[in-house]
Parts: sequence; structure tokens; C-alpha cells
Amino acid sequence: MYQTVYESKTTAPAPIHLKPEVLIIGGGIVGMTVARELAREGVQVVIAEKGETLGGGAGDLRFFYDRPADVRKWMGELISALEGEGNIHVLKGAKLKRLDGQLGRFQALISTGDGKERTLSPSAVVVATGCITLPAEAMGDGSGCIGSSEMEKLLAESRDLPLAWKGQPLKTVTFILDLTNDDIKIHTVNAIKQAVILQEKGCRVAVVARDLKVSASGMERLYRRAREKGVLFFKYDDPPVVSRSGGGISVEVQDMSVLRKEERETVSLPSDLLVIGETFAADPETLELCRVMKLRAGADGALMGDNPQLLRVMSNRRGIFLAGACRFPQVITESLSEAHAVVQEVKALFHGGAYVPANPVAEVDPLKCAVCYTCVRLCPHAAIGVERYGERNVYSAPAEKDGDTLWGAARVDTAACFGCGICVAECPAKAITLYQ
Amino acid sequence: MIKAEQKPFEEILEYLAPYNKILLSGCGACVTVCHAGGEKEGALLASALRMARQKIGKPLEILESTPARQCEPEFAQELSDTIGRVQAVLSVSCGVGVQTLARHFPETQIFPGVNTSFMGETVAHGVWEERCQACGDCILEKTAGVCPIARCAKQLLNGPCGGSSNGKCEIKRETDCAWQLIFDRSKSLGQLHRLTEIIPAKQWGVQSRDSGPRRIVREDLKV
Amino acid sequence: MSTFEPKIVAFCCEQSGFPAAEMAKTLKLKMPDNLELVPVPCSGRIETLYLLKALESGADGVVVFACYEENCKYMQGNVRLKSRVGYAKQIMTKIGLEQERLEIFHVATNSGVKFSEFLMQKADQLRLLGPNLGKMA
Repeated sequence: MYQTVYESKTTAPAPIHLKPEVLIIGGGIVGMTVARELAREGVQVVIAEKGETLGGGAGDLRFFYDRPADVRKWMGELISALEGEGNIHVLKGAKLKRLDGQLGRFQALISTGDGKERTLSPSAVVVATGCITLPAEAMGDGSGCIGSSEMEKLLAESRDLPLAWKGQPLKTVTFILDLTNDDIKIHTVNAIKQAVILQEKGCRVAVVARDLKVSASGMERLYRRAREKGVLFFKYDDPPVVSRSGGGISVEVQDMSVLRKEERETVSLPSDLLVIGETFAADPETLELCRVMKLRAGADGALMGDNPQLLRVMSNRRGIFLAGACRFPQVITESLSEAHAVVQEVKALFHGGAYVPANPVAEVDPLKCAVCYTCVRLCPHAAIGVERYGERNVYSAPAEKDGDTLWGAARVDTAACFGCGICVAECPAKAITLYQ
Repeated sequence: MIKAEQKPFEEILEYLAPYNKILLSGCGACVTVCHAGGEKEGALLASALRMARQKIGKPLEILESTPARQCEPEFAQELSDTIGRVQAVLSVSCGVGVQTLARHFPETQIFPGVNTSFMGETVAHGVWEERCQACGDCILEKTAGVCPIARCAKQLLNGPCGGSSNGKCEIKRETDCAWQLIFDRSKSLGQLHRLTEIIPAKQWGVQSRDSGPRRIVREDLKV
Repeated sequence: MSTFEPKIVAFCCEQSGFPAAEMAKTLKLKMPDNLELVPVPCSGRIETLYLLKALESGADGVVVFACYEENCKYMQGNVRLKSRVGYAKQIMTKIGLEQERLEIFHVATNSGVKFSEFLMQKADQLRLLGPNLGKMA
């Protein structure tokens, strides 16, 4: 009997109709890209953006690292393309208050800035809520040290002019990387990108990092260009020491190019300005969204973590997709790749107009269900709810039969079930069966 | 609802020592919800008992049956055929179920497989806490929805005692002081002034069980 | 002493254990003689009852091949299974069965060699331990 994993059923679960309607939470570059691509396929899209403007976290960017285009111009074009598209409806000041239902028939209650509430019924939902940045950790007394978004602004505003910082000409800049968020690439990418621009303007630039994370498309090339322009790169094990003397800042780092630790010399880099990346953190509002949407969040607030079994943009629930910085802080090109991946997945899902359950599906026997909520709590896919549909139940005595009474019992949604069988094993009444 | 915990395994083995064919009767309600009895836990216990007895060379045949509940006469009757075929019954239902079976089957030994502990609430999955002791005269209206009979170690009606410290009970450090909870909740309800009302001592002998087991009759429902 | 060949019931998660078993078979690696494989969609499908029933029905040892923690396709199946194995082991102590008769082993799809090696070691261990005295005849 311990070999009985599945039971067979003659009737297959009914297909779930999927109308081409999608709700996208988050109107940043990822949300907008997904919206634009899906709208082209005839999908009705609603973007629920919590702010008053579209654009999201990429609003601070001015330069791409891999092309000469201007980010603001590109963003502007993206936004106007969206506004001209009939299949896209944008809600501003919008917040998801409640999400019921499953794939094919979600019920999303959204409140908007004007105080109104509306219920949307998309077939699928995309979460692209991004992350937040905390101000850069100041070093020493904080002066002469800025974040990378401030440097981005400085470079954008001084297009044809000589570089200046607080009225003084800017001659030397040192970037210090990996003091926070040492597992993401954004700081490396921004630093090298900005270093090249600065060096081209006659500045002497040094980049100090624990690791140079050039594993993004085109980054090896950019690094090479930076080296050719004369940007100095130093790696460190122990963090560099920053000291202030006279009018300038000095960054001291060990020259790691020498193998023997005792023979390493300390290199002193006099700098007019230090640039440190802002710290990226999970948006607390995204975590609250997870609670509303019953999505799984990792320990650090990043959605879905690094599970090798799951495609990158999948969430723990069928029909809900994740993309962009809300998963973890990413370089803009990678966020856009995830946006395209979501579009592919949604297209594949909607193709054929219905979802046909293919995996084994669990089913609860309402007669035995004691409504203990064990399965509801333990289902990793939030596929189980309690509904009134049982004709008899453990709580009704045999003689008792009120014609109209329907008893509450747990019910597994066939569209949301992944067939793992966790509920089957946990049920204390052995009321759940896995059917193939 | 009623919360229970499986009895120590050695104790159950001792009850069943003289027998070699029993019925293990579960219950689909309260003990299922707190994972103490019911079909899953019952089957587990049965498997463990079979192996333990096999090991000492005294095999025990166990029939398993889990009626939806054991506290209604009809549910007990459902088991009569099976009970006729065994020497004794191990019931993993609460004390009520054990006694219902005992009343219906006066010639058969009915053993309790769980200790019925309290009426409690689920605070987290797998964690249950005592909330009610069936005193028979509910005073929750006076105590902002927190029961001092069930949750105060001293069952004080006008607490707290001097031992309440940082919101915890002096008898069991991990336990929240019930009167602290009553105070906090009264405050959030805007009803702190209620705490100045003296709650009189309970009439244990009249309202509660101190004068024997209680009985409730609804004349209008009687057939 | 008669040649006692321990019976091992190996529950294999279809995301890791079962592919590892297939790989071991393809590579023609050694397997214990008396082995029963039970594939499951996720190790989380394995009820505590199945672990005990396997022993009751004649197994001398029970092994669960599950994915590494953090790698469960269904997020927490292997974590739930771990708790259940802990509970089953408590019951086994009360019955008087040796703890070595139940074990979880974490694998990935490509762990054909580890699969075979672990089972052979377990068979050796069980041979020394002797037959499971709790099993029904």
C-alpha cells in the first residue's frame, strides 16, 4: 500500500478557459515592455502603477552601458507608445488590495488614487514591482562621496562642459564597489560605464572592487575599452581605507597583483570624489503584495530566490509571473530579457484559449474533510481554498440531512494544482487523493 | 475545539498486552484537526503497534475504522459489526468518544489512545493553546475576550497577581499573563474603565461541574 | 548464519532520485539485490505512514532519495518530508527499531554514482544490523 502514489480517474479535469486579459502590477520598464508586447498580440492589458508616473526605478538612469542612446528619450518613447495603444489601460495611484481566484479567473480588487475601487478579472497576472535603493553608505564624514545615481546626473548635466564638483574642477574620481550588495552586477556595470565617460572627459579614474562582475552582454568589451582608455582597476580582499587630509580624499588599497601577501604594497589613490553604489533592497511594499497574492518570498525579500527547478520568471502560482528587480536587482538588459520571457510564457499559456491540466491533480473528498486547514496552509502553490460544496460532512450526524445545507470543505483548484502530493500526505483525515 | 495528544506508546502497549485482535477506532472531527487521532494518525499508531508486537513475538491483529465522529449514537452504531469481531477497542477519539462507545458496547473494553487535554485555539500550524475550560458561565464580555479561567494560572477573576512580569506569568515564564492580555485588549477597545468593575467569585457548585456532571436539555428539540 | 539479503525500499523523487536511479541503471552500476524502487512526484508526497508501512510490510531498511533543500520543484516538499522522517524515527525508537533503518539521502538528477554507492553502503549496514524484527511475517 505504500506504493500507491496515484489513483486513476476515467474523467479528466475540465479545461479552464483563458480569455486574453492580463494584469501587470508595476509600470516600470519591465511592466511597460510586457504590456507593449502583449498588446501587440491582441491581449487586453491593465497596468496598475502605484505612483503617478510611469518609469519606475530606471528613472535615474541616463546612459545605457551597451549603446549610445539616451535613456530618458528611450523611456519617453516607450511611454508614448503605450499611451497610444488601445489594448493597454494604465491605472495610476493603483494598489492591489485583494486577489482571489486562480489562473483564468483571478479576481483583483484595485484601489486607485481617486478613491475608487474596481474589480478586474484577468486570466494571468505579472508582478514587476521593482526594488528600492537606500542612500549610499557614507565613508568617513560623508563629504566628497556620492552615489552612482548622483554621478549619472552629474555626467548627464555636464555634456559639453568641463567636469566640476562643488565649484572645483574634477580631476580624479575613485569608484569603490562591493561594500554592499556584493552579489549583484549593477554596481560594476554602472561604475565601468561611468568610468569610461569620465576618462574620456580627461578625468583620472580608478575602480576598486572585490570582484569585477562583467558577466553581462557586452561588459567584457566595455571593460577592455575602459582599460584601453587608462582607467585603473584594483581588486581588494580587505576593504580599502579612506582617509581625508587637506582638501582631498585618499583611498588606500593593497596591490593584489603581487602573489605574496608580505610583498604587497599599499597603493594610495588621491581622489577629488568617491563614488559608491547605493544599496539595493527589497521593497517592503512588494513583501506586502506577496502576502496579498500568496506569493513566496525568499529570506532577503527577493521573490522566488534561485530555485534551479523553476524557469526564472515563474512564481509559485500558475498564471502569476515575476520579472525584473522585484526578483533581484538586475542590469537593465537582463530585466528586459525577463520581460520578454514573461511575454513568451503568457503567449504559450494563452495559446489555444484554454489551460488543460496535464499533471496529476489532487482532489479532496468533502465527506471526510474536517476543514482543519492543514492542506490550505501547506500547499506551496496556494491552490487550495475552503468552499461550501459538500452535501455531507464529518460534522453532520447520519440522520441529519437538511436539503439546502452545503458544508464547507477544502477544494483543490485544478488549474492551480501542480500535483506534488504534499496535501495528500499531510491530510490528517486522508481525505485527499492524487489522480492521474 | 477539543485538543488531544497521543498517549505514551508504552502505556498503550500495556493496555493491549492481553489481547491479540483489536479495533483501532479513529474520529474524523476534533482529533483529526489536531493530528492526534483520525485516519492518518490512527493508521500510523496501528502500524507502530503491529511492529512492536511482532518484535516481541506476540502478533496483534488490528482492524482500523474511522467514523466521522464518535460522539453520536449513530456513529457508534456504525462500528457494531466490527466490534463484534474483536476483543477490545483502542479509541483515539477524545474522552467523549471513548465513553460513547463504552456506553453502547457494555461488554467490550474500550481503551483511550489519546489524552484529551483542553479546548483550544490553533495559534500556528501544529501549535495549539488552551482557551476554554467549560466553566459554564462565560465572562468573556467582562474580560475583553480573554478568559482568565483558562489562561490565568491562578484563575484570578480580578487580576493580575503580583507575579505578572513583563507580560509573562510567574508560574510559567513562557506563558503570557492573561490579565496583561485583558488589560491590553481593554485598552485597544477603549474599555479600560471596565477593569474597575469587580467580577464576583464564580458559583462553581451551581454553574460549573463542582456539583457533578452537567446536563443540557432542549425540551423543544426532544422527539 | 544464513545469507540474509536485506530488503530495501527506496522512495525516489521523480525530480532527482528517479533520474539518478535511471542513470545508475544505464551505467550498469551495482545495486543491492533486494531493492524496491517507489517513484513519487515529489518527496513531499511520501506520507509518514508509507515509511512505517514499508517496514511493516517486509523492508529491512527504507531510504528516501530527495532533492537538496532549496532545490525542491514544489518549494517545500523535501522540507515537509524531513519533518515526517523525524517523526517516523521517534516512533521507531518507541517500537525498538534501529534508527539506521530509515534515512534520507539528498541527490540531484546526475547523481547516478552516489545513488548506487549509497544503496550498497546501506545494504552492508543492514546486513550487519540483521533483519527488521518488526516486519509482519
